[in-house]
Amino acid sequence: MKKNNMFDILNNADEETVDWLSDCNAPLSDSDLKRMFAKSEKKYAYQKKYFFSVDSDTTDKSKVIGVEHYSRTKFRKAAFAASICLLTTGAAVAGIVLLNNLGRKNTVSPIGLSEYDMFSATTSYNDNSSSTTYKEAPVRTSAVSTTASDTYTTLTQSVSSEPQKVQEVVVPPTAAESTTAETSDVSPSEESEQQVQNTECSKYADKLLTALNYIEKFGGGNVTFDMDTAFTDESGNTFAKVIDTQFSNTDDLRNYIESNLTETMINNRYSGLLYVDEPRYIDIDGELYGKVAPTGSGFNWLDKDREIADITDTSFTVYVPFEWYGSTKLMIVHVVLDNGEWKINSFESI
Amino acid sequence: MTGSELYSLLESSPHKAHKAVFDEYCRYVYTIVFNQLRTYGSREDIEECVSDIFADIYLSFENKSEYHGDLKGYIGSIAKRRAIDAYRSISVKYGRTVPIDSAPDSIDNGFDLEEKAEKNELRQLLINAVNELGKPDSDIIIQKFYYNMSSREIANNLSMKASAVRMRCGRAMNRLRQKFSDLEITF
Repeated sequence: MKKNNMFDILNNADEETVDWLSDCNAPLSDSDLKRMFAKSEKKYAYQKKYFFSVDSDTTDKSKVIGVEHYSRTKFRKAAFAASICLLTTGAAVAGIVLLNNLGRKNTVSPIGLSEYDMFSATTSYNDNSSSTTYKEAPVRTSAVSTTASDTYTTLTQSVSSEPQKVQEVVVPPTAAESTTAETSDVSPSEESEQQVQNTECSKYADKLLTALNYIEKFGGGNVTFDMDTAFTDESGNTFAKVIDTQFSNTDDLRNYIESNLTETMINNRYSGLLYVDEPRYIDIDGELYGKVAPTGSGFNWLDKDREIADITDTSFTVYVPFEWYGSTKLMIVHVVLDNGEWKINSFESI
Repeated sequence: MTGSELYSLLESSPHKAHKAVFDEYCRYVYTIVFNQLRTYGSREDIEECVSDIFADIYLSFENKSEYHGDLKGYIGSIAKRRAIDAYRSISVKYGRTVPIDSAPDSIDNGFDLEEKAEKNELRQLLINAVNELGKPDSDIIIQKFYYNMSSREIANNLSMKASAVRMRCGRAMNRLRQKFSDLEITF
């Protein structure tokens, strides 16, 4: 049974609605049409041969003529055994490939969930083994955020060096172009103003997407720990000191989160970091400690196909594809001006 | 295609006549069947039903009845009846029917005039809102959320890239939601 949505109201429609729906390009490919036509011809030929006589006026459907031939596979047992072996081998190979890939992938999209309980991520420990860590912390100035983007690009490249096919993503028209297409009477001065706005918003989008990825990693516990400092609290949670980060303590982390996300965004998704009774990050002797329980990792943005749209004085929307387990999804990020700072207010993916 | 044109084609080549009828009315028949079987039927069930309908149509031509008018109404009637039959047989699998012995003494016919009127109104609002999106956004929305197709399948049908389909779909849904929230309607 299909999941309910607002389009269920079109079920059992009247003739007018059916006509309208059939004008909306019923989803039939050429191969679908060929297949259905061939099937209809076959059924017609069969029924004409066995149930209907063209010369007679009677159409006695109760009369059965002919014998349906059924051929039994001679090597049934062997075929069955072979198919079982093939399935088992295929499942084993797929499992090995998935296990290998899970360790390398750096993307997650538990959209709509407030806790990171869907994916495991690589968590690095200070045990001298090589690990993927976020060496350069993103900061707010545009110059350094470029550095952070470069770092992120390097991470992306290390992931994509694995033999996986990354889908091509078409470059959409920019907001300026699309806005121009929608309103054909835009003057050159208005167009250049839009481009300036688009450029400005793009800078903020750079910074905010980088921050979102970083906060998402923190949210998922995908940070570097010094396991020599690890301890277990009364509730059975293991904490260890967070290293290789710009944040010295929870105040630093809180300031970073609150300067990039609105309160609404924090409450919807990231309250578990610092804002609950048993937060993921705490201070021990003035130093930042985190719960050692990786449940997620950041977002692998495909920035080159990003688009800014719906620009107003106090908000804009960023449409940015991201990689998700070998496929590409689209994130829609809503940014608002909150007390003079541009912050992410919400996001959703499709 | 009118009945007269069809019969002149049937005289010369039945196969060509069948193909011509199929090409002209397949999408219409598919829409009728999908509309009935959307909830319980799989894609294979729907295709099977469409094939059965066209087989019935071809067989009806053998009766040499004379049709001079538009075939659409005739084909639409056959399609609807077959689709309803298919719906009844498929819905049995999902336990939507109960034995007559265990049915309650008085069965509500389920007809509520007010609810029906409201539903018709909402349906019209939805159709108008989707039409306002313009093509290809309206096609994308219908294929995504009514026909439950994936972005890749829609992209193949509309000769677009899957990423472009996703982007357009996201924007179109935002506009639809905004429009309905302006009307204070929630789905």
